[in-house]
Amino acid sequence: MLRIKMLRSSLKSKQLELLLMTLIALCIAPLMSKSTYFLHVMIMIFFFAFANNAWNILSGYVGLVSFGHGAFLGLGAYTSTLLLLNFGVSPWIGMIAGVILTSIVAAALFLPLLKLSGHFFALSTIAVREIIRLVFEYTPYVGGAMGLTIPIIASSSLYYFQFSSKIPYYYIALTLLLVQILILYKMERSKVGYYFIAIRENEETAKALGVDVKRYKIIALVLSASFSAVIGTFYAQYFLYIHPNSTMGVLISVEMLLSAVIGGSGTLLGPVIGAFVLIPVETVCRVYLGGMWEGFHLVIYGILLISVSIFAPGGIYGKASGLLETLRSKWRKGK
Amino acid sequence: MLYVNKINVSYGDIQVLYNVSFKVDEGIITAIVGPNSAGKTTILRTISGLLKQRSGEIRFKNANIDNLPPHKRVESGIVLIPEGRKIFPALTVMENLRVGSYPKKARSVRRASLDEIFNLFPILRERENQMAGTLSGGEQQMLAVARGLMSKPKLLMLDEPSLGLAPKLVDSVFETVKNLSKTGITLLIVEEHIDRVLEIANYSYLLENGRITLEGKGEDLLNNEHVKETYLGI
Amino acid sequence: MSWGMLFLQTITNGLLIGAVYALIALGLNVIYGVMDFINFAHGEFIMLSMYATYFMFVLLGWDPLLSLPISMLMLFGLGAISEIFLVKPILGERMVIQVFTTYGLLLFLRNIATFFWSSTWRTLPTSYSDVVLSLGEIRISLGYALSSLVALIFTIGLYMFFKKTDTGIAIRATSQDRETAKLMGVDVNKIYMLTFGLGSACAGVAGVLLTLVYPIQPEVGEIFCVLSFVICVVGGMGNFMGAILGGFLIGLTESLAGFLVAPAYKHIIVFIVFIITLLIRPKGLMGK
Ligand SMILES: Nc1ncnc2c1ncn2[C@@H]1O[C@H](COP(=O)(O)OP(=O)(O)O)[C@@H](O)[C@H]1O
Ligand SMILES: [Mg+2]
Repeated sequence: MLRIKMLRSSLKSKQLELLLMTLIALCIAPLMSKSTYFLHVMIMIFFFAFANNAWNILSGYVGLVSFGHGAFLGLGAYTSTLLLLNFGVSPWIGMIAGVILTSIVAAALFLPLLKLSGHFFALSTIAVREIIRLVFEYTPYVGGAMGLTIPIIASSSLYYFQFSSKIPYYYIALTLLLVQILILYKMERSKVGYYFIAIRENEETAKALGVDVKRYKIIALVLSASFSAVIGTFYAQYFLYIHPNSTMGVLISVEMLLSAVIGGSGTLLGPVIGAFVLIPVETVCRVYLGGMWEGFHLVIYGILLISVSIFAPGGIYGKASGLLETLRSKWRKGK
Repeated sequence: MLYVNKINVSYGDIQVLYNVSFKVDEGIITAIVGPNSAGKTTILRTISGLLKQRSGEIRFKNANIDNLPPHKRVESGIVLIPEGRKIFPALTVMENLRVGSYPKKARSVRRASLDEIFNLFPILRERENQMAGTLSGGEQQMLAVARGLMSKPKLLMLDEPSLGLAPKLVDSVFETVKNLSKTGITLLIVEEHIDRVLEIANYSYLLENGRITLEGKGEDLLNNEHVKETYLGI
Repeated sequence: MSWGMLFLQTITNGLLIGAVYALIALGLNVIYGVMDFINFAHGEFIMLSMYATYFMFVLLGWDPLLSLPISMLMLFGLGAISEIFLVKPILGERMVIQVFTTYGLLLFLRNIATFFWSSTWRTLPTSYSDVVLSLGEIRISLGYALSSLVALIFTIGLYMFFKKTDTGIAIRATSQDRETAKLMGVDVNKIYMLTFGLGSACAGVAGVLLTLVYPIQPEVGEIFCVLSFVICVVGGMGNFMGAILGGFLIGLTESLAGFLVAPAYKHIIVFIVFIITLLIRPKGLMGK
């Protein structure tokens, strides 16, 4: 008995060790490699990990599958960009404005949909996303289908969230991701996280146990949309060019869920693991296959998505922790 | 004709049938009686292939049928008229009967089967094009039996055919069962209405808590002290 | 042309495309009605059929309407195979698993098509697709007329199949009560394969017809798939007549919105109709 406890705590501390080492590695990585391409790939990993974490709150924990998260990301991107272009407002303030605006729009447009379940919610999110995207596409004031370009205002300015080097973007993305993971870690261990999962597992039972289902769905929606808006501003400042299709279209909406689903939806580390798997796949396709193989990573994503759904419904994280658990219990028995 | 040998059946982790064995002889009426939740429906669903036993064997006409899917068991002549009738409510009476004769062999003699069935239940001919869901309870039970007969069963199993019917209709159901037996069909009937079914059954089993606890001719069971006390309230 | 005539013209256009929409939605709805399953790759099936038709036209010189049976059979086969390998293992699983499996199929098919055939738009110029018929002042392109006529024929054919044949009736029985269908000797696995094949064949036929009026591109399935979801929800999920009614309604909404508001806004309005229906009548117009 004692031995098992010791084993457990030693495993815990091993996990902690591993975590710390990963963190240190991530922090010093830019100092080791000067390759901007490497930095770009890492930034994209952080970006998609963050975006998938955002999706994961509503769709992974609460189980309301959304194909519409691009709309939230896009709203965040557009809010800060429009404020910057028209009023010279710092994108950091724009980010906060984006969070507020996106929360309001999410609440207004998606709130009535929260009572739908299963397929119907998923389908309705496609429609709402398309409505928002089309409105932006046909509104000249926000740049229409051509979108908005952010001019270079300063070569390196924290206030304007613009840097000529990728290193600041790297650390900003990493910081955003770490803060987000910390928040989600707290959430997962609080009653909110517990209620989220209860709603996903069985809404009726959750209700019967006294969970205010509607309230917690709204909390999940707003949290999920807010994080999406935050990363939308990052997107705009990193690429300095946004248009309705790239920030609100199908592709970004799907990329906001692929890492989560393949990594393991409804778990803290699933989306991060997923991003660390998928983005390199994309990079390999782009760099080493190139040319006509452009976009081939999406074919691989498709195969991965099918395989995960059929063979490992808990994603890579679920499968791996399952395997680890059986190994551990075997080892314990052996002792 | 049918041999059930020591079957154990569970739903998930919950075992419902324990070493249940019985046989059904050709040409007679066999009954399984027992209280609610004893596992009667479970037995019939296992025989028809909707459930798989954990262990034990089922033989029909000297062949092991354990690996046959439900539709193959129907083709070989085992037909279940399920508890609660389960007619297809949004199909017409005629369409229900057509589904009943879906297996190829039955389809080839469909016209003749229809004539027989309309003779047996003239009311169904009148209702031919009516949605089955709009029939009365008694008519639905007739349709359920008729639909089962359309596939030309050798062994017809009925799960609580009198469930939810008015007393007068219950009489006619048992009358029908007796008549069917006379036409040479082997019958296995499951009932909670113990006294009524024991009157018409040639051989009966008592099922309690998933175990066969008693067997014998109908009158033997009726005269058994335990049965009298527990189920007949005498 | 007077406003009244323009209005009539708009109605006509809406009904014509509505017939094709109805067929697409029917494919989706039949599968949903019987198997309680939504195929997110339905639009990609349409896209594949469009390409099959295109290549038979370009490489072999076969007219779309002549090669229709081939495309239809190909899509039936694709549907049946997908059912066996992708759908059967996950039937009865949680809804999200169904969504992501078929969404994976969508990603795979859409991008493999881009890979092989690039994302350029292609058109299939038949000798008759540009011929215009005049009914008084109303003008109808022959391409639209033919595609809606053929869609109507297939819809009626499918209806007769479900109404008159033993297999059709068995499919309907299975959709009402799958356990009891088994007890009646119906091989439910086969019925599922057949249903998925039939639903996909609808996408196949619709794909062929769309080549007469619509350019071809790997992402073309997206809008048709979304529209058919809309149609099924508006008409009634799993309801045969609902898909037909919804198809015509959405065809009309689309063309009226284009006429009365602005062509650019037609899909916004269709989606708004969709959301409103979901909220006030979630079971659709024909749903019970
Ligand atoms: N689908 C099921 N899942 C779990 N338990 C079941 C299921 N169906 C029946 N049972 C249980 O199995 C036992 C026997 O049920 P059943 O065969 O229907 O009894 P009977 O027909 O004699 O009333 C009951 O305790 C019932 O609760
Ligand atoms: Mg019972």
